[in-house]
Amino acid sequence: MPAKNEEYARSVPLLNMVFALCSLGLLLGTLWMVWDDYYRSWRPVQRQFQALTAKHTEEALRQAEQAVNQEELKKIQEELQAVETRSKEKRKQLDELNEKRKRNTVRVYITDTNFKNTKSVFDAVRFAYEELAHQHSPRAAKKLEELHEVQKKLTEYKLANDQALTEQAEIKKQTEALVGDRAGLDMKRQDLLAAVDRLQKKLDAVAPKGLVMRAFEHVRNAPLLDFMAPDLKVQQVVLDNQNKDINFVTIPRVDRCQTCHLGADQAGYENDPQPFTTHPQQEIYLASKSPHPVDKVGCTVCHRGLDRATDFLDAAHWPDSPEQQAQWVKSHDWHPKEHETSPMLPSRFIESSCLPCHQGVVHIPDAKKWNHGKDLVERVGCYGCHKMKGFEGLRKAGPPLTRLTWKTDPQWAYPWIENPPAFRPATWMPRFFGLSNNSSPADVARTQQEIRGMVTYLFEKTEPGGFPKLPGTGDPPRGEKLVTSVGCLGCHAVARLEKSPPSLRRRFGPNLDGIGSKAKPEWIYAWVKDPKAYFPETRMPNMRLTDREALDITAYLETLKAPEGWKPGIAEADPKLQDELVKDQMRARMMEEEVEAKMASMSEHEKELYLGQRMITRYGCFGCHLIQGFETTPPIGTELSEEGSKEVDRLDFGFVHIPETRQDWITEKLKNPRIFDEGKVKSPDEKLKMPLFNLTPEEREAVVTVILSMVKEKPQMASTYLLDSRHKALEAGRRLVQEHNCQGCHLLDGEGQDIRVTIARQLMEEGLGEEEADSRAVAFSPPYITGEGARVRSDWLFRFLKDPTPIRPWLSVRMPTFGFTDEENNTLLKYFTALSQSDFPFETPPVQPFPPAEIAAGKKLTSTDYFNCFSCHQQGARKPEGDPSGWAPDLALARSRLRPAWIEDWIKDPQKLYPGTKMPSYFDPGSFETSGPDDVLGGDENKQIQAMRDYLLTLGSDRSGS
Amino acid sequence: MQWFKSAVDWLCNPPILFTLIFIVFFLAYLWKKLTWLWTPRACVVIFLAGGLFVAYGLTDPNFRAIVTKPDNVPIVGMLFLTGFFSWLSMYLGTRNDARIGKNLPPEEKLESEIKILVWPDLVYTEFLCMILWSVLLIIWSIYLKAPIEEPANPAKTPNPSKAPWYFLGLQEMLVYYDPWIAGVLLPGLIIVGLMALPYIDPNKKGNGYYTFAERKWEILTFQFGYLVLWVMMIITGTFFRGPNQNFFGPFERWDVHKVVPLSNINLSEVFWVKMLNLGLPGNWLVREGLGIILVLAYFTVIPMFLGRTLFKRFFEKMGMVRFQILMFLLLCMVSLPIKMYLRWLFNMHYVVAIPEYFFNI
Repeated sequence: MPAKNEEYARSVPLLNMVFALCSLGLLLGTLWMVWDDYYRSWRPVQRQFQALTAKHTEEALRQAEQAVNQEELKKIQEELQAVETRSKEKRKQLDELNEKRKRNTVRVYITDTNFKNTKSVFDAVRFAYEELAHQHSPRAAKKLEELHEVQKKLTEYKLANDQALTEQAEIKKQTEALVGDRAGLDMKRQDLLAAVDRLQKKLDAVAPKGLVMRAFEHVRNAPLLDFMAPDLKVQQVVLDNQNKDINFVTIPRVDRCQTCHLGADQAGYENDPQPFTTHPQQEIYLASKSPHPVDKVGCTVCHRGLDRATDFLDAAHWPDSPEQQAQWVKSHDWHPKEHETSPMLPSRFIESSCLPCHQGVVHIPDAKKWNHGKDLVERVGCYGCHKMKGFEGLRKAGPPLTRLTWKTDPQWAYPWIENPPAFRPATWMPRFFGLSNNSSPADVARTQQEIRGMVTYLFEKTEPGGFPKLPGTGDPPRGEKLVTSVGCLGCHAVARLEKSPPSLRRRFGPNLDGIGSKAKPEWIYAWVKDPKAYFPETRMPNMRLTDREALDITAYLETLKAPEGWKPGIAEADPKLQDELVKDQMRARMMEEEVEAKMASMSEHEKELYLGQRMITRYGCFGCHLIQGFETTPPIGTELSEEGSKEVDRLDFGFVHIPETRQDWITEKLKNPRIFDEGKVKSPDEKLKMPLFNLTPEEREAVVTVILSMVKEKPQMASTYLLDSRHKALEAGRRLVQEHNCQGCHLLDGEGQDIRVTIARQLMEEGLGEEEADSRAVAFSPPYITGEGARVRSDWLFRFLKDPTPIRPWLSVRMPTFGFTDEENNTLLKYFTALSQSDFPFETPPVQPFPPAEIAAGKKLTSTDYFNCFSCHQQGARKPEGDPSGWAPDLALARSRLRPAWIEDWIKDPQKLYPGTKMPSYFDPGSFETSGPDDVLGGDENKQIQAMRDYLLTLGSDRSGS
Repeated sequence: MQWFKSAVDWLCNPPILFTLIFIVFFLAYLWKKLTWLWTPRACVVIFLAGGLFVAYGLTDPNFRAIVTKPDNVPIVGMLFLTGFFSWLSMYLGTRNDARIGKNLPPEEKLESEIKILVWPDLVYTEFLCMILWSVLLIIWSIYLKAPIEEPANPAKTPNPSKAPWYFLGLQEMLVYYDPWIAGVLLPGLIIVGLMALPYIDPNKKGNGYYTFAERKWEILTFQFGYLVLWVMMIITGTFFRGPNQNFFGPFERWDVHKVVPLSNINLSEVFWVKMLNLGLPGNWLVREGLGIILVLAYFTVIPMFLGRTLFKRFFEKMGMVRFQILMFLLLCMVSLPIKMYLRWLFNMHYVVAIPEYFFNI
């Protein structure tokens, strides 16, 4: 301390004051820091959820209370009351018994303890003796003696304990006899009120009542104290099998989403607002028995975003729509999270998360949008220009152009290339010209010469030859009838005939509009007769048309002309401009002098050919079409195999102001493939060249979903969906089904029969009402074949697929000949049997010959006296009477075609195998035992069915139907 | 106000900015008419103007994005502190100079005669400062979170990739010099040079008190190296270097796709190809001869010349060895702005370029 008389430079009281203020500031700052660290955004959210749960629980509690059987409760309570009264009356005896019980309790305790202690001593002595005996020690004998002693004591204690317990039971019995079974009644009462009690406990936990309990709530959640037993806490699942790559190391995912999304895996919050809403489709997602249990799969594997985040913005939520964005900006001050490499997927693209685990399948179960997108990618042929993992080895999406002169002429090809939708609005062929970056007059002049070059090249590089003249003339109305009835419309659409936009499967083959202005009649005739003759790889099957039918169809298709205003013709040649273009192309590849020399040596035609060849290279026509000279040229587009993981800043947004995300960029690109050239100065060769595809907004979204699903991250094997041999067979079959569009005609695997709408339309034109036409159309449509594997014999199906014969002669729609190879046929056979889980390929036939009595009974049951099977079913050449829509397949074929087990199942309950079938159910599955006739085979339904089966197996000859 | 922003952006183009700074620096220190700068009134005016500029700038999204980045906030603070203490030293220096002119002792002399107690005058005040700083740091840490970014990815480095702010001056040098010069030699010389200062400068004047008139040359040299080169380079690196290390004005958007022509050439190419119309000689010694001669001349002829003319007084006072060391250090320092201008104005890559031996100057 300074001496009193010393002077200070500053006033000490003032300094003290400043010190006090500073200290206060430090204290407040520290408290603020603790609060700032403690008060996270999820805490109030959990409080809200507690309130919500309390509300729901109160509601449930009220309902549970109402559901309690009041009568029984009253009865129990009355009995309890009676017990109470009796114990008052017989107080003296009861007191005595109670006294006895107390003493007994002590005895039980002592004897039990004695026994247990001695038991441990016994075990120890036994061990010691065994050791000594093993060592042949002289002390062993003494130890054995000790052991026996202890054992004796043990037995004594056991006995004493047993006696005490017996006495205990006796006292209990006496008490019950005296006043009644109070404990039993209590138990009954508890059972009755179990639901109420459970809910009450839950309610007490989420919404404690009383000052003390509420204060305790706050204390246990207080900062620093909340390490012990808080009820507000971060909820997380650690996913050891879902690793996350953070570049230098992989770490397990730790999903904390449920810190706020508390109701996600609980039923009962379906109608509550986010973040509490129950996750939709619990049977598929989150529930512990679903294929995606939350403790194994978590949340961010599908939704992406930052797994460990516990804050709305940190988690990198991403809005699904501008409305949602506006709402989030208001409620959460939402903005894109900086530095987040994997923000959440907007929910409309969520199905793009399925693929990484569901690799190698044709369609992903329940992923409707992704499946649609995948079908579109295959149909449109994205993989022609862009390498895409999972789409390797697919056929080129467009027809080959190697025999172009056989089919059409340059006058048609020129305007087609220039603007395909002008000729055929619904075409899959995309548009390359007249788009946002090549529509200026200079661009148009240039592209005209480019297209001229391409047309010249394509018609020059073509195989010589052509088809012979038509053998006669056809009748267009008859042709139209054939086109609409034999099955063409399962894969093709004709705008003139459509009432609503055709489904994707009905756009499998090209739209037939304008075919008359496009293809030569000779080509159409040859093509419909035998498509593979012109294009061996085509998916178009052979419909086994007669010459007459082919001629009629040709005549009809010839009437389908180009839309009005469309004119064939080629733009004028502009040799000067063409020279410029050719030179530009050459300059990029050779020196100026060489260019000049080469130009001088080329004729106009050669220059045109050169330009054409360069332009086909530039636009990548060979991605979809087989073109001579381009058989092995690699595709021109960016590889998309990992597009879903591409860094966003590697995407050029140019001067287009859209949100900087992958999905927005790809969507914009599909909407206008040239948009990112906007405002840029580029030479013609530098310009973007992706063509514009004719897709609706929904279709675009589906395609974007597929592209986003192609990511770099590979999930661990443990979490991938592995295919067992049955599923492998299914997927191989589905691939073939997809490639041949079987579902265009057949209902298979729960989907398809798109052709039915055209048949219903046909029936309506014949004068039926809409509803009736719809129901009758089922009968006139190709059959459902989901259960085909269980229904037909493998050998029959094999023969049938190779060379189909009519099963249902009343149908005008035909099963085409696809020309499957043996391998493909077997794949399909395996697929069908795997689908219906039946044996492949053969099963044991019933033992023949059948007893004559049984056959007789079977015959009797099928006769007009009983089930009258042949009133609908054909038998060999014998056709049933009545309207063909009521006819059913030839039973003479049953023997060679059907699996015996299936015949039984079918007769027993047809609706189970083929919901909606016309086949009557003669045996009521509800009262099977009494549903059959009583006077045949002793009224035994199973025997009756077997007799009918066996009878059917005797019909026809071995060769019939094969 | 768009014109203002455009004007600022234009002024912040480094060749212009640095030229301006050079001029302002020398004028402020040497032009007699500008001594009013070292008055409190001028200080208030300058700081108000600076504050207003920043406040106005914050209304611009691009300016705001750069200045309020948690990494950059301390640098903005540092700018004002540097400015204030530079001003303070000159303010106190000029006051003392006036006193010395009147044959009075400097103010510090008076202060040194006052007796002050360790407790409470020193320790108590320090303690209070400590507490206040703690409060400030706590609040700062609550408001500005640690600038954490995405997980480091070797395949995708941040653009721009920047060193911590205190190294941005060094990083800036790397643009103009080979790594071994910019990263090793020059920083080494800075440290060695600072260590050598007491031996080079035996002038006892200014010890323990502020003065400018008595140490004009020393202060000017140091402040040039510190303010104009070191601090300005940090500012440039922090605020003006954007994506792809391109220059951006403070009101300009940091566009990743901005393209600037980069076609740097070496002196040897200028000499042999452009001037003599000959090909580059195969022998590196011949090829780089001119550059080597120029560099050697820079370090030998200039000291000799200056020692006889402008710096004659120093040469005589310091002697040969000291003078040579001083000149070497000084020339090294000045070589940086020289190289910067050569780059900006002539796209000069290297004066001496011997990639065969990884030796470039």
